[in-house]
Amino acid sequence: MTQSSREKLNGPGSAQGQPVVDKGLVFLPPGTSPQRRRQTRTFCVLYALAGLAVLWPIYPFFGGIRPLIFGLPLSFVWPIGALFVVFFALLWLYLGERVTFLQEETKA
Amino acid sequence: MPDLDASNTSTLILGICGLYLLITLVAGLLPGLRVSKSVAGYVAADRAMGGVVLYFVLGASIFSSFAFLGGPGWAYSRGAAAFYILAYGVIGIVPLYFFGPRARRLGERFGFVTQAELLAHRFVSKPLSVVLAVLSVAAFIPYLTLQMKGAGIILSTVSGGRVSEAVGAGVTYGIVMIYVLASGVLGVGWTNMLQGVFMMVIAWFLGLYLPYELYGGVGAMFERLAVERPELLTAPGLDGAGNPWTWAGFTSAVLVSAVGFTMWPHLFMRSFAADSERSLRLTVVMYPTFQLFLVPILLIGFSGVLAFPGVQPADSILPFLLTRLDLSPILVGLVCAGALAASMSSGDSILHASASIGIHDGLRKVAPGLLEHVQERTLIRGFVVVLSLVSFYFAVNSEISLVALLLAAYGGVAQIFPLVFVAFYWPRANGAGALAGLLSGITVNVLFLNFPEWSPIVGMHEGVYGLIANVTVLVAVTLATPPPTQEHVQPYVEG
Repeated sequence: MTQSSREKLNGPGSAQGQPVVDKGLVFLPPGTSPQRRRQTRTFCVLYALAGLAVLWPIYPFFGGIRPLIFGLPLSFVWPIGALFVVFFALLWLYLGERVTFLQEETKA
Repeated sequence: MPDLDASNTSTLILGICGLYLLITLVAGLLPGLRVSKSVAGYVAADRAMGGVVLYFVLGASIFSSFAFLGGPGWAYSRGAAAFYILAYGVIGIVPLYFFGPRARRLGERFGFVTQAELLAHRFVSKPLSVVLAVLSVAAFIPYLTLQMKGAGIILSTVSGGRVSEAVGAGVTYGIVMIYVLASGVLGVGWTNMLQGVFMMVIAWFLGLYLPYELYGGVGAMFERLAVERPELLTAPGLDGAGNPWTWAGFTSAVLVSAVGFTMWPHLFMRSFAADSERSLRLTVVMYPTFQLFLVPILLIGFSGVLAFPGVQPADSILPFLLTRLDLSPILVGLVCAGALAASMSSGDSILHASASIGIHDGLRKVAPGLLEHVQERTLIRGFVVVLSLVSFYFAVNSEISLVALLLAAYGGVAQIFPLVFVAFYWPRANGAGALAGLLSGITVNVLFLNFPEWSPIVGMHEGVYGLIANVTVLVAVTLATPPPTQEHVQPYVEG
């Protein structure tokens, strides 16, 4: 492959031997600890479930009136419940990462 | 002497609102004494905004006149359809947990103070900066106009028409303009704290008090509604015409609103103002506690359904209830001040953000020579005045459907999401793809907004079609054009 054709394909800089940019999605950079990867993946699953719960086709199963819970119809309690799930999932994710932030702030 | 009594009552209510406005003015002016005179000070609070202030800025700037008046109005007229506001909050805030800290870090490294600045640098595209500035300002004007109208309606209603809507909106936003000019984002932050606490206390009090006063409690109210108006309590509720809303309409409205939620520039920009990544993340974690404020807001609307049927327009149900119940004028005054707080806490944030973006990302790119003669901070302040006057003009004179404009704005703002996402997570994404994707998304969104009959799925929000076009074009054009260098994108994809 000639220098110009490589540059055309991979962009400016690639012809001079600069690293070629990642082609796929990069959610967590290399070097992320396995524990943080696991925790982030678990959070994303919980978040997706809570999100889907307030959309079609799951919400219609819980979009009726009864039972009334704490005096509120089920259709009202359901998105409030999803809000609580997201809150506790975020809190769990944050507490897991907090130690790293505190260490970084101390270094800074 | 009933007229004299009515006059005294409205004077007392106006007095309380006036006192509230005065306190807000002082709270907004004080921080201006401690912030630096730089653009970073005016726009991003010298990157020193703590967690507590940030929490109220994020919360209060989103919950506006639309939430305080429109939320009860939707629950009153469309029932369970109003739960979509809760539903999109569930999904909408989480992206900021991941995007915010990255944006903050990049802001500190490269000196960014706006969302458009970050994206223009990542995609090495000056036109992208200008398009984003135009989109932001165009989306903000109807939003600001709506807040002004809300303030005008409140003061006009409680004064029994003695204060016109124009004077009410003018006085309220005159005060907002003064503290935004003087203190920038820190003035917005301090006042939002005061306004946020006030709004929450008032909403919870009314949301529990009204069902108790009218039905004997929240449970009793919903028991009666379940028997007499079951269609209102069954998701997805009713549409604007009173017919059952479609699930396609509900789900797409939730999705587009959730996608657009953290993309509103005035919300996203606060990432640059945070004093640390930790406080920014903690703010996002705590945000759902602010969203719970919607629960009493919706209860207020439901409480009017059986007690006062047929109130038009539905958005006036809260002021209507206040005038029909035998409440103390002091309480009514406090509630009206709470509604003003909702209007002002969003209005000040929008005004500040739109002026900053218009100058920093728009004019500065189009006419860089102008900044050699005039300080940027001075230009932003000038634009604050211009935008206030333009919005005030529309608030007083325009009969355009603002809700329609606002919905269109939401569909437009949601188109920024794919760009922010690929900026951080797809190193291959480039400027040509980003610009082409954004322009396609906006075009398709506007097209389906104006021709809803073209929609293949009845009731689908036009923003969904815009997002599909946006992502497709972004990916296709990116893959067909050269990628950026790894060195350039590295700071963006670092976790």
